[in-house]
Amino acid sequence: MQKLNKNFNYWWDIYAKHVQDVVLNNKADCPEEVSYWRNAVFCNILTYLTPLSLIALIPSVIMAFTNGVIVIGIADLFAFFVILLITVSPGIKIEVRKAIFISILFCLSVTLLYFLPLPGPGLLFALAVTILSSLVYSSAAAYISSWANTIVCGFFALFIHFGNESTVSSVYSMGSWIAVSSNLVLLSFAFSKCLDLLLAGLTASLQENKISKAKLERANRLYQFISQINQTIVHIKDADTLFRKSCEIALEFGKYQMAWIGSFDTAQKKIVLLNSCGVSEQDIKVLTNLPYETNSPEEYVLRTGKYFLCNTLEHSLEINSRKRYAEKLNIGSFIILPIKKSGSVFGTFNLCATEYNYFDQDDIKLLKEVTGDISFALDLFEKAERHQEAEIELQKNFAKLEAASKEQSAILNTLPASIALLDNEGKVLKINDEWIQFGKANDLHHSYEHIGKNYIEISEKSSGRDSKDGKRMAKGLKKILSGSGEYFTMEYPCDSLTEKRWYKVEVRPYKSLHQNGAVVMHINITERKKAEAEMLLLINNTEESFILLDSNLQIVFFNNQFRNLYKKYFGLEIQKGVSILDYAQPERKEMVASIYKKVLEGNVEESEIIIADLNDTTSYFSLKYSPARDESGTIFGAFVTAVNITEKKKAEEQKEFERRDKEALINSIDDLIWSISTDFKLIAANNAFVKEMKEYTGVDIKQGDDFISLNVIPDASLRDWEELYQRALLGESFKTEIYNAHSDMGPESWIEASFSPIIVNEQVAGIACYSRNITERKTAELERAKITNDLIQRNRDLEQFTFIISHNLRAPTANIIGLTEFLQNEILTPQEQKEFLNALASSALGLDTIIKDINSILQVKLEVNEKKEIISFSKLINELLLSHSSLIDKHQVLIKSDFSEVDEIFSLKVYLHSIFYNLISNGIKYSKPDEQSLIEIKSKKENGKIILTFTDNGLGIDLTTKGDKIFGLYKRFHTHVEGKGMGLFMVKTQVEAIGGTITVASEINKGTEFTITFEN
Amino acid sequence: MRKLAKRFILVDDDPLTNLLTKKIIERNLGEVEVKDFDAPELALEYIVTEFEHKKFADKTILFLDINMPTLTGWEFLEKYETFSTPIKNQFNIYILSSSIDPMDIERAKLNPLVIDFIEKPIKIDFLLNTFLA
Repeated sequence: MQKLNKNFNYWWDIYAKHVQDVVLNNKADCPEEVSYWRNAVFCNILTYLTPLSLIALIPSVIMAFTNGVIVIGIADLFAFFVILLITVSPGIKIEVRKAIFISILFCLSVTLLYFLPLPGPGLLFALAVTILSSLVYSSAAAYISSWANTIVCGFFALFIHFGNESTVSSVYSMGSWIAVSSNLVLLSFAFSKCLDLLLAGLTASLQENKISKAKLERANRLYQFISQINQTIVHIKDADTLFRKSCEIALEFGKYQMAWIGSFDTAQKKIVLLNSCGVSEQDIKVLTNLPYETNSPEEYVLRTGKYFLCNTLEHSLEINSRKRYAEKLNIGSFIILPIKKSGSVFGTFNLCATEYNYFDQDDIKLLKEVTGDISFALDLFEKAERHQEAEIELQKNFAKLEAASKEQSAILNTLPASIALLDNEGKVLKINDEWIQFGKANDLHHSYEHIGKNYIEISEKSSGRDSKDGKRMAKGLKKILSGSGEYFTMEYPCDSLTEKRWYKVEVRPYKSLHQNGAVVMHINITERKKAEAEMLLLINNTEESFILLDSNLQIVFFNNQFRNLYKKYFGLEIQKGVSILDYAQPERKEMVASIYKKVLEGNVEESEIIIADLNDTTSYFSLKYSPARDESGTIFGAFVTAVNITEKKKAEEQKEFERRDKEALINSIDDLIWSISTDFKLIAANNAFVKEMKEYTGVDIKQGDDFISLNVIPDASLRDWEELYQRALLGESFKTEIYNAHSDMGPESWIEASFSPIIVNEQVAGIACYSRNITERKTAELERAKITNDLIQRNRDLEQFTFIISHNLRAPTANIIGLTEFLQNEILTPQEQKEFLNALASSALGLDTIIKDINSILQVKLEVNEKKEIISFSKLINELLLSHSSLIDKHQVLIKSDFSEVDEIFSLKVYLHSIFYNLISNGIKYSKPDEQSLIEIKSKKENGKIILTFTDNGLGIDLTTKGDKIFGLYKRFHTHVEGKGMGLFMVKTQVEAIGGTITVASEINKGTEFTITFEN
Repeated sequence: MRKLAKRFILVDDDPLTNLLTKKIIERNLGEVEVKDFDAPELALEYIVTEFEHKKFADKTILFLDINMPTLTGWEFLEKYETFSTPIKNQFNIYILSSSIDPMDIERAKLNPLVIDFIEKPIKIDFLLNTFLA
């Protein structure tokens, strides 16, 4: 039994779980909502109703079938299966299940009412529908159901009244039906109302519960936020950590989406990001250095010191600028709170939330408190910092004072000078370490005992070599101590056992609050003395002679060389303290004085003198007079150096001679010689070059002139020259011939030029150029070439004649021979005879034509000497079109001519006429039969040449195979047109006879273009 | 004993020459077939279409002029050379030209496709000796 129960429980659990799954479909509804409970009730009803309904179903179905109410049985079964279906089958929405469930129950109740003789079950079902509607749907559904019940009852009342043949009408009278059915109506409405009230109350309490929970959570969140911040403030000692923590706490405890703190950089009008949390790396970049505009939220906060709140970002117009950014980050509302430092706004605390209306009064109140706390903490930090700084400063000052005191005594003790303080009697009061050390080092056992002794006495007592210096010292000390001197110094030798030493003593009066006296200081100046001696050695051993004068021009110092100079050249022994002018030669005195005057004013003067020594050998001297300045730059005298430049002078003279010699050499020839630097500046040129330049360009070219900017090279050949120079600059040495076309700079000419790079230190420093006019030679060469060409042409003509004779003249001749032979030998019919005689005549005529052609060709060569005239192309073409209008009309040719660029030529009219005629007729003859023929004639001028083009759209010629023969005599390329192959030959002959050339370009089926070029 | 030639093809742009040659051949060789062309292109076309499939036991004689406007004799031979050997085997080609240029004669002699160079007008003796012996 227990096992059975266990088994049943197991299967029931599976069933119940399945129903829950399919009906609720795992919908995670909030239990605070009434709909959640409605769905749960519905699910439970289905779970239990389906198996329980079997209890009602089985007996009612059996009863229905046994009593012959089959409709009821079927309806019961149908209803059961539908309910079973919506209970277990997945994939149906819960609302649909509910609708099906209610409607099937309602239908069942109507069916039962209609077919059962007793109304009980039907009315029960109707009431059940109302109650279930209220439970699983809504209160409204319950009222609708109640009204539906009322209507159904009404219908049945009508059935009874009109005696319809239904079970109900047969059993009830009107009165009894109303009595029964009115109970259903009453109960339906009563339940609807009761359940409505119950559920409304339930809903209200659920809602309240939810709101209070949310409030609690919020309060809790805000409390945590502020308490965390305050805790942080208590523990943290610096602003940076405070900012970082504040942001972190805002996210962790305040549950904000983003938090960041920025400070105002009012100078740059931008916000410096101090810390952030919940903002991605990329967005941080946007936040950093964010500029704020006037009237922007940040500016508002800065200006007013109040917070800025935006609870619905989408609707706030003034923050349009950041909407896009907010949308991207999914920000619904944000607040900017001021952070103050010493009472003024220092930065902002920015908080963002995903939801709209996130910040309510509680939030704002708390946040104000939080930022107030942060501001307070900032002030606190600053105060603490200042306090600390002040303390450190104090400590530093104290340390400094201590150090200064130590330093002073250290300085005194480490000074390389021996210092002693004397009282007004000359008694030694104090000595420094060096004084004691000096005594020890020099074995003067008594020196450290000087304290308390009279230093004047000690000095006076010094004996031997030092006695003289000792007396001077005592005298000086007395002078200072008596107050009649401010300073006493003397230098004295004081050799140790091993080395030579020099000392300097300085005595100054000393006055203090307590007593008067003097300070004595001995300084070792051995190094200086040695250096001075070395310097003197150096000065006396240089090449240069120099002398130093004071501002009165009295000699202060001079080296040996200078002394020797005066001795050697003037026989004078110069001495210190004498004015230099006293040594000047009388005639130079005034001049020398003026030089010194200038020098003392700060100028540097130079002069050269030639002096003859006592042996009459002349020498050159370069003198330089410079103002002598002390360390502060003040002029205190003059410094003169003299250098013997005799050798240099002689070398220069030699150089000058060589230069002039070379110059004379290059100027003695007519050819041009010049050289230019790498930047095309003239280095040197011979007279011929300068003359040529002057003659042709009018420019007086000088050394250093720029070739390019001077415009001495004609524009046409500028590039050629540049190229030649560039070649030479690359290190090439070459010779070339240059042609200069006729220009305003002169007639056409040929020059031969050579270019050689000038190499200095393995680098090209310039170009040496040489050019020679070779126009005469060149002209002769060209003349010769022309004669050779003419001869070749003549030879070609002769070949042409041989060809004509061997081919063209022979053809009709052969025919004549054949025909006459035939006519002689054969017996012919009259018809044949006539035919052959015609052929004979035709051949003879052909022969004649060729002979005439030869004549006209020969004529061309003779007529060249005819008189030339100015011919207008347009006039010529008009004449041609007029005289050959029939030919043109017949072939429907369109002839376009354009002589706008050049219309006139100086030439032979007969030939030009023939050339035009032949080329036009050629175009007409070889036009395409199925296309409008077009011949275009144009003239233009290029580089002084007149160019004529004849273009047609005719058949064209394959130039790859026929190109070389197109202008040949008796050459034809098309069989369908009459022609003897004379036209183009004549055109070429005539064009060449008047000094032109003709070329052809053609493409099969596209057309042909003839180009005639006349050298003007 | 050489066989009698029965078929002649004349290629010359001058119809007079063709007429004369044709008459001389017909008069002297009797029953022969002489076909003449003013345009060498047509002659080439005729050779290809007529001799591609036919096979005559005896050779056909072709007289070819050199100076023709659209296609010279030499160019004609260049095209003819590309024909298949069975076609070429059926022809004996003679240059029949009015030219007395030694260059032309030399060139004809050197061309393996050409049997001989004959100077216009064609001689009866040559016909009889060559084709009727």
